[in-house]
Amino acid sequence: MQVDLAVERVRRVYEADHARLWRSLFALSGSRPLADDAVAEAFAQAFRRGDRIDDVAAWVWKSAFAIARGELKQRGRTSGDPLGDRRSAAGGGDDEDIQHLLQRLSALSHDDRELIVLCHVGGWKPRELAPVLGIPAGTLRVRLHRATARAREILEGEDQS
Amino acid sequence: MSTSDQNDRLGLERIDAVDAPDQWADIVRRAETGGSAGSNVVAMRRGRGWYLAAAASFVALVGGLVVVTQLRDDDGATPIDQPSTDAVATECADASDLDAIVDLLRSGLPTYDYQPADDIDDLLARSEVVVRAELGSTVREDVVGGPYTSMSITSASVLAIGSTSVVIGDDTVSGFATWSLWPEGAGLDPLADRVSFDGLGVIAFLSADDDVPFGWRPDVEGLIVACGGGPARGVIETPTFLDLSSLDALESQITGVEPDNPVTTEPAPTDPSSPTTTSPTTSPTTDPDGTVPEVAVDDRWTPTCVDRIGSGDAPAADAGLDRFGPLGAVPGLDIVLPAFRANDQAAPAAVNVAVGRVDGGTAVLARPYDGEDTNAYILAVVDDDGSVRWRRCLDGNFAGSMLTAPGADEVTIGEYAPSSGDAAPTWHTFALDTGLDRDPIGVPVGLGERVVDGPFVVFGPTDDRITTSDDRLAVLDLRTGTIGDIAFPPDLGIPAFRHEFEVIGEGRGAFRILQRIDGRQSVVRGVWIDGAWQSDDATILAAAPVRAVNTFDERGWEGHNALGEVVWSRPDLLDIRREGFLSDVSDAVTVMNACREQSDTGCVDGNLFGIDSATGETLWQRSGLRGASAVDDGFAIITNDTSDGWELIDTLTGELVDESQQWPGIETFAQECCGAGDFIWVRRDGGVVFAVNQDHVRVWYPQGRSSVTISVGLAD
Repeated sequence: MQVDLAVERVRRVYEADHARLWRSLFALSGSRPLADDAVAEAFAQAFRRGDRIDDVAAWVWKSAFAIARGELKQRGRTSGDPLGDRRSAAGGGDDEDIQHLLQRLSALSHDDRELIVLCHVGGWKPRELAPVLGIPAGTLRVRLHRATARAREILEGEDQS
Repeated sequence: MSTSDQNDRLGLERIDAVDAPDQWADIVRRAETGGSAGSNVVAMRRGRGWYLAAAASFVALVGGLVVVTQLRDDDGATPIDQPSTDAVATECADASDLDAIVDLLRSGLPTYDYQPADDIDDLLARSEVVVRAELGSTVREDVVGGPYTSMSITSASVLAIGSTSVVIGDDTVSGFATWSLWPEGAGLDPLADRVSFDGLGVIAFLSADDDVPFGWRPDVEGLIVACGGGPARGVIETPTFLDLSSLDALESQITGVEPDNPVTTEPAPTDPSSPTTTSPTTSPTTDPDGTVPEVAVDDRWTPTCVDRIGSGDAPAADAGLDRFGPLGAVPGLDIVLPAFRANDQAAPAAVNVAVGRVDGGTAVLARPYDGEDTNAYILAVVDDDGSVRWRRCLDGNFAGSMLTAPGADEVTIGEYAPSSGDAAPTWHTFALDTGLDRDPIGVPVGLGERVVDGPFVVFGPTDDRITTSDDRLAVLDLRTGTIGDIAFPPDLGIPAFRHEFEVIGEGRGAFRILQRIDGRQSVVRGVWIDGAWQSDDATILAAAPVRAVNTFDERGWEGHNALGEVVWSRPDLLDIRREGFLSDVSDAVTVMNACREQSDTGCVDGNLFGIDSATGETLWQRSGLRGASAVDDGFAIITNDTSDGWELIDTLTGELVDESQQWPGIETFAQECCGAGDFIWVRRDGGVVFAVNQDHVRVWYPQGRSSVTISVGLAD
């Protein structure tokens, strides 16, 4: 029964959050394989931890982004390009509009990009996000304000031109 | 719904159309097998063999550090089959050992976005205590709110004490912790088991933080370690102004400098007896107008901020401003905020503001915010006729709460000790008529704040310990300045941080405690009405109306009574799943944005609804998701049909009140999200509406009060 409850908890989070989480990591990395791996690994680890996790959703989001961060860093060290295979991996069926969008998004710093995708792709509200990221809510709001301004210049500036 | 962000996702909504794969099968397979073919996840197991394997990995990880495993039971025999609980001891003998240890302590820590200290004075000023000790051990603790890298210390001695309300002795600090995360996808966690040290000294600049193990958190630049008498290193960041030739040299540097506020104070005592209202734990000064301060001048503001003390002739309260309704065609006041630039900064800081109604005027608190706390703010009262009643130019760390209430004769603000994070603030008060200082309010240490109902503010604990009936909530009555305490409900037994407080029944000081479980769900655990915890269902139900609650899932919106029971259900009204206006209540009507259905691309058929809160019946709907910036007393300000302005509607019918209640310009009552919401927002306080937009606070009064806008410079 306990195992069933634990499975049910993770399943509910999967059904509610998986798509948004995957798309957020896809937007962050531009890589389907990286998004696949980070999301699947985070959920799998949540399974293995059972009822030791209080807030499964927050834990999965945090872990998935941490895994993705580590993977991106690793790719940067081995290839010299921190975005690794994002440009080529973003293809595989994604239309040019999406590819172009992700390429423009990649012009942001990693930290900015992470905040932008968490809020504007993942749908997180700042007050919910602060404890997940482990930073003060006030700091988060200001960083997000500035990241949004920079992102707007990059993402909307090209549209207008 | 915030107007500019209703569809403003920077174009990223296009990513909603990207198909996300179904990964459930892969996830289950990974969980069962302990890893994917492509990952290097290692399932952790206890046992002597594992420790030796871990030691080998550890050696490989840190490049040759000597590891001594100690696996002994009481008679000295080495257990083979039993799991060992002893830590792996690490010798700290020379510089190469220190490098490896710093890498170990640094593992899993994030990249920090912080404001570097200017000098050691600055670093001391933003710390509550500085200790020197032996670093005994460290481990990554996966506890609530974490995980954290926690570090225990021994043989501690206090080198300096900053501004703190905690009594500090040599045995006060037994360790400290900082948030960290080591995902298994990144390899074996070197701190999965406790690592002890031999000969590792530490000097730590600490701030109190109830959320972390040990209750202390080191400054990003304030965690310095060394092997014995050798050179020291910073673990996280290393400021250049510290003498790191040795810990002895650093200690001399620290103790040779006096912090600004070397104060230790006893925490305010709490009465453990049954519910009672007590006198304030601190007495007001004998001067009824408060302490006369020196006139402060702060030229970091432009215009320069100069203290102005009020004459004591303050306007009386105006009951005509108590209820929300039709507003004037233009705002009555346009309060212009000054600019702020710290001395060493090239660009001005963003300024955000808190506002609240006081008798005869508006209290305004302006604070610069540049990613980290900036020790400056302006507190002022602007009368309804546009004159500045008083103004104080303050040098401190505003805690984010300004407490005002009708009938109160003072303004209360919370102020943190420098860089203390979420530690309990000190609550300062200022006389409403003159702005003079009064004694701080003695809120017991360790309590956070929960505004409950109008003049009542409840302070409850925010840490992760289990609460019992011996713990206390402190209730502040802003009208009198008195604090009472009440015990938690009996048999509550949940971690303190899981408490949520909700007002039920305005004006009665009634609230309920909710326990937050697993994300967004909450259950009622206690109801406080008329000075006592109520257990009679009929009393509880009569105390508060049914409230509409967004379940954020396929259940849609539900009606919950005061016991948290579901009395109606509207699965046809779904969450909008984005930033912006969700809902608000006006008497018996809940005004809400909702979607008929959700697809992969988002909300389908979204509208603004007026719902009967008691029955869930739809009273009216307006097409499209809308912004709503003020809702109460039978009225609501919403975006108009063309989304280029605002109108006031009757919440019973959803219809425009009359032609005079329309305002052009989407920015007029705009509310932003995602960080910008700190600088562009709207708040209603009684019949007055505050519309804040960057450096302007526009005060809207009821119709007929004013026909022109008076511009007032807050620092003029």
